[in-house]
Amino acid sequence: MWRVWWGRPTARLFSTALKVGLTAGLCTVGFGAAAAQMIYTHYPKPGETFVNGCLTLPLHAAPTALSKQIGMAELGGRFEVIGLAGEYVVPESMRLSDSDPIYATGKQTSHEATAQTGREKNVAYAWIEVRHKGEAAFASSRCLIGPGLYEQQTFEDANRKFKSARMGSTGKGFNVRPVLGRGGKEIGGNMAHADADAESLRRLIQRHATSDPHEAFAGFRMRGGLGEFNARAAPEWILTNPAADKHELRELLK
Amino acid sequence: MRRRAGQLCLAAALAAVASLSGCKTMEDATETVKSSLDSASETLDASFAEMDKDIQDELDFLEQRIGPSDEYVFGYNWAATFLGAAPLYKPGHPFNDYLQKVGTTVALGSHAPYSYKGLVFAIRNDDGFNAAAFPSGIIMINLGVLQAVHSEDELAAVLAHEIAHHELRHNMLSVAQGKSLTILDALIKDESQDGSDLMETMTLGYNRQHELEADRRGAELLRMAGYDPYALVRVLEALENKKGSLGGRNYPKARPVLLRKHLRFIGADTPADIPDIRNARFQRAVEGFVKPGDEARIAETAEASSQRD
Repeated sequence: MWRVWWGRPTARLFSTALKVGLTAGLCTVGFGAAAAQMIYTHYPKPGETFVNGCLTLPLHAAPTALSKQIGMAELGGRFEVIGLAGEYVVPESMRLSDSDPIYATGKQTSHEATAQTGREKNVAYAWIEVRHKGEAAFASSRCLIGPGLYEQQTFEDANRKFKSARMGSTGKGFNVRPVLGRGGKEIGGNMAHADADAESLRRLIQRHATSDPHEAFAGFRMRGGLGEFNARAAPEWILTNPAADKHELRELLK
Repeated sequence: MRRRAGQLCLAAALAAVASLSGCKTMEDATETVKSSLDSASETLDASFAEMDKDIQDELDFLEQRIGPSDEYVFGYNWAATFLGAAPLYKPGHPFNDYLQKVGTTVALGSHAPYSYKGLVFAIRNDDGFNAAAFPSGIIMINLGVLQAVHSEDELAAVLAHEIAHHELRHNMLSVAQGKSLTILDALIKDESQDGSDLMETMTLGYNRQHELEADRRGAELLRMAGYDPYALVRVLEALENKKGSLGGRNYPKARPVLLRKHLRFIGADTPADIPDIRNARFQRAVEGFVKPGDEARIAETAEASSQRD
């Protein structure tokens, strides 16, 4: 009788309620870590073609923006990938665990995610080595993206993403006209609940955004003993374990 | 979504209880409960499938679908709204060019040296002790923060903390978590002025973990750029002295202690000698930008604010 009464239906109800509760909880708190690492984490494999998604992208001789600049990529420039570089362990706020929503929702297992991204969990790459005019060069992984994602870099898609980011927010009015389409044409921006000053921002960016900061400010760095002109070498773990906490550092420095 | 889930759970529970209360015999009760639970469960399953779809949509948004120009759109719209609440401070003054050079120098050593249009730094005409790092590297510092800055290295320290937020994607993480509008609302309403929960020092108001990460990473970025990482400690101490506070609720009181510990790890736990040329060019750049009168005004505001706290 007990089994008839409380067996399958009750278990099912509890199971379903648990699923619902769990899901609601995850919607509230859980997406952060998964979200953080899932943004920009489609790293290429050697031989693939990746595309520059930034208006301009300096190419360097080594995996650091303080190394010699050997070229400049334009928006939409395509590159054959040689490999990944600048490997680092993401800080705690960006880490995934098997209990993170990306797994808990059943979308992927840890192994599947590793197989899909071709890398270990919680490891990222700051640089992508590409072939440029027959030579190897390094491009920031913040700008190089897959062809599929590049195709989405449109006015309409940016608008849709911006609106969809409202999910889970305060729900206040947020009326946005996105500011550019592919090719960098600026259109202007507006938000309903504040008088946005898009014009001042446009002028600011027009005046100060530098397509070639490495070259433009080399003299400033040299005179100030900064950047590549700074003789003090930083510990290697600063590159490989950014913002590591004291517990991690103790392990690293053992 | 959370509310809907709660309603569904409540509805299912009520359905089960209501069914039990109307039973005459155990057999009737068994059948009735089975029927009710099956029905409720089916309803929940259908609703859960709908939720799965919602979650899938959100995951689709998050997974590998935010590109450089998307991030620029986010940052541009946020920053434009931020400027709508308080304008740029002397945008034509040469100090802005200097600010751009200092910020770029720090950013070049980071894992995020470039963005869609490049990183941009600006001063906003607001006496509050805030700074903000928007997606795509649009970084704004309130005029009030400048009162705690007395050298190029200290200016770099303020910028490094914000660049760290950008590099570690704390801002896009806020987007993903749906917190961005809350933070922006709080900034625009200038909640820091009434001593409430927003950052009163130099950040947007991320969570405690993000703030501590940005402190640690900011010091590392200074070290890599060749600036004195200890400058970040000096800025924090200056803010504490002027403001009587290390920031809003998200900053632990032990913030400077934790930062000093980290500085020991990176070999920078004592102040470094700063080349004269850096101090000299800072003095030249700031000349005519923050006037003595402005400094007095900022100090008065800070004093009044700390008394309110």
